[in-house]
Amino acid sequence: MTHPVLLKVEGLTKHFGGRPGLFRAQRPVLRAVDGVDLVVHRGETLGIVGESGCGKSTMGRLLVRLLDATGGKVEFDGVDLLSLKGRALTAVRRDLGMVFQDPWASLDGRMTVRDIIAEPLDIHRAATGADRRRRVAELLDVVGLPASAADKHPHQFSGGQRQRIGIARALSLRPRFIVLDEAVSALDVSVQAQILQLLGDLQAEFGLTFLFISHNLAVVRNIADRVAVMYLGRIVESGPTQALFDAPRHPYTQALLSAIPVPDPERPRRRVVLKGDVPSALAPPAGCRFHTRCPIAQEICRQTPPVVTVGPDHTAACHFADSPLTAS
Amino acid sequence: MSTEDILADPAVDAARPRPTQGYPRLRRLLRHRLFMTGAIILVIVLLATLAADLIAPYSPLKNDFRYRLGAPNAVHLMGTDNFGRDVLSRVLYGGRTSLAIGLMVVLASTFFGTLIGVAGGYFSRLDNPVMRLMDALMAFPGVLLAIALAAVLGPSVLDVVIALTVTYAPRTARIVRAAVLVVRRMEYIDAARVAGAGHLRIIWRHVLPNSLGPLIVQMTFIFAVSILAEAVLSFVGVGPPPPTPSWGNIIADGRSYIPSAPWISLFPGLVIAITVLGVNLMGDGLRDVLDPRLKLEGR
Repeated sequence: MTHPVLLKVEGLTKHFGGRPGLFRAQRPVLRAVDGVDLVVHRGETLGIVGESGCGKSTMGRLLVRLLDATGGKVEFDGVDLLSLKGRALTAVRRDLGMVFQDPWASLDGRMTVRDIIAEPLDIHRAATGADRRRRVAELLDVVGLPASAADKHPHQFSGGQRQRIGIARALSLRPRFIVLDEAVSALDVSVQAQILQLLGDLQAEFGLTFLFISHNLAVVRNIADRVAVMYLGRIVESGPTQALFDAPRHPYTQALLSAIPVPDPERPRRRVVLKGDVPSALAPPAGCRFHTRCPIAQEICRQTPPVVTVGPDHTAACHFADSPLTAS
Repeated sequence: MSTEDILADPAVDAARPRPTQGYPRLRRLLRHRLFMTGAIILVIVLLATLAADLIAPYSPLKNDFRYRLGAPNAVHLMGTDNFGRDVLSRVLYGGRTSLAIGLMVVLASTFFGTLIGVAGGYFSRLDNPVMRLMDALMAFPGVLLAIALAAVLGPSVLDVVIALTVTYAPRTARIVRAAVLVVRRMEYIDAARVAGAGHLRIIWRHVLPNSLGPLIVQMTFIFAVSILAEAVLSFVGVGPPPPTPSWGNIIADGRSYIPSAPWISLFPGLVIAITVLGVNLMGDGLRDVLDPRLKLEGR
């Protein structure tokens, strides 16, 4: 990746609960995101994968300032994103977009498609009157919907069409960075392919940078330039898509990849089956977070968190990332 | 050509039926027999009250001691009261007071209830303090609270409205809060926030339009109950002050004469019963049509 860095994340942390209120008892601290380091290059798609509850959605929400981080630093195009407030935050929001998972819940059913798509324009007073109409028509065209869609309501559309409307809304201010949180997970497989195609086209046309959050490895492999694997609020491995899928270094990544169904009964499969459940984010294990389920865990894993081992653009948070144990 | 493409095709699209055209809910409401019965009753009562100047046979305030406590007859269809005033005329004019009180209580409790409910439902910091206060108000039996407040405030139409609003606004607030709690978690709220929308915009454009549905049924209920409560307040002497008639104080005035002249209390009582029945029928009809569990169209 020779592209310049657009987004640099260091030690990003989000803890839920904790402080007791007047009518509320002290609650245990849930470490949803617990020290994430990431770099997103301009114009690339970074895929974030992980099980349910690993913190990937929370991280996406932190990066568009839907949630306030507990700690860490996010540098967006040289700006300290987490410290922004008021007008400065509103201004930087023009550069941030988000596409949501549920195309039924993410569009307000009482608004027309025109008002939905133009809402970001209205908020930033970016276009009014004829200009606003023209922009909506353009956006509809860009996402492959007819101009006549503008005066209808969301319930008159299918799931895939609604997701196109959501994408048009995210694009309306021509942002540079878009978080796609499970953006195709709620869609039929055939429709998924079309939306992925559309996203790829839009990225090429507008030079967009995507953070693509998904639990679906096949989809991520398809769209992402680089992939980061999350486990219990931390990134355990990240690298170029090809390298990571071909030669995963972290045992968790290996287990995830081995769970992808192979549509060929002749091909031998080497399944790495994990024992037990994901430990609670209320009390993450000491040392390496994965040691409770890791097939190759040693004494050192219970003691010290692994130092991130760095290859060229490929990191894996495992003590044995370079050892023959993981080379299997 | 895939399904998606076909659906997006303008020509095919133009030929598709449009499910929301022609207000399907309104049509269902107009076909709802109980709702229409209630609506007709209410319209008749409203028209008769508003046209009291034209159709009332006598002044509601004119005493005529020759005809004190006169039984219903061709001249006084509902008889006369202890001052010889025509009961029919008083009921017609009294309806203005009673219905106005009902309407004002509905508007005021909807306004304040929505304000409080949105505050509690949307701003989680305010939720506990505000809603515990509402719980405290709701812990009193409604009419008892209204009587206590009206006794403190003194008898006047406005004081009755204030007393009943304090009584019913907490119930409205509960309903609005519950709806706001659901709407607040919808992803379209997040989408607006990502775009940079402020709280006021989100509340005005998204939260309110999506949470006020359940309130419509509640509004009919409050209207009906306020008319009844006005009668109760009058009966214990803290209602709208005489000589201005209201349905409640006509009944209250007649209560000493019930053995000898039951018509004084009977007729306004019947009118209240019919009006409340009509309003409740409308409320039931509205609930049938608006209830999401019975809703046919998908969202």
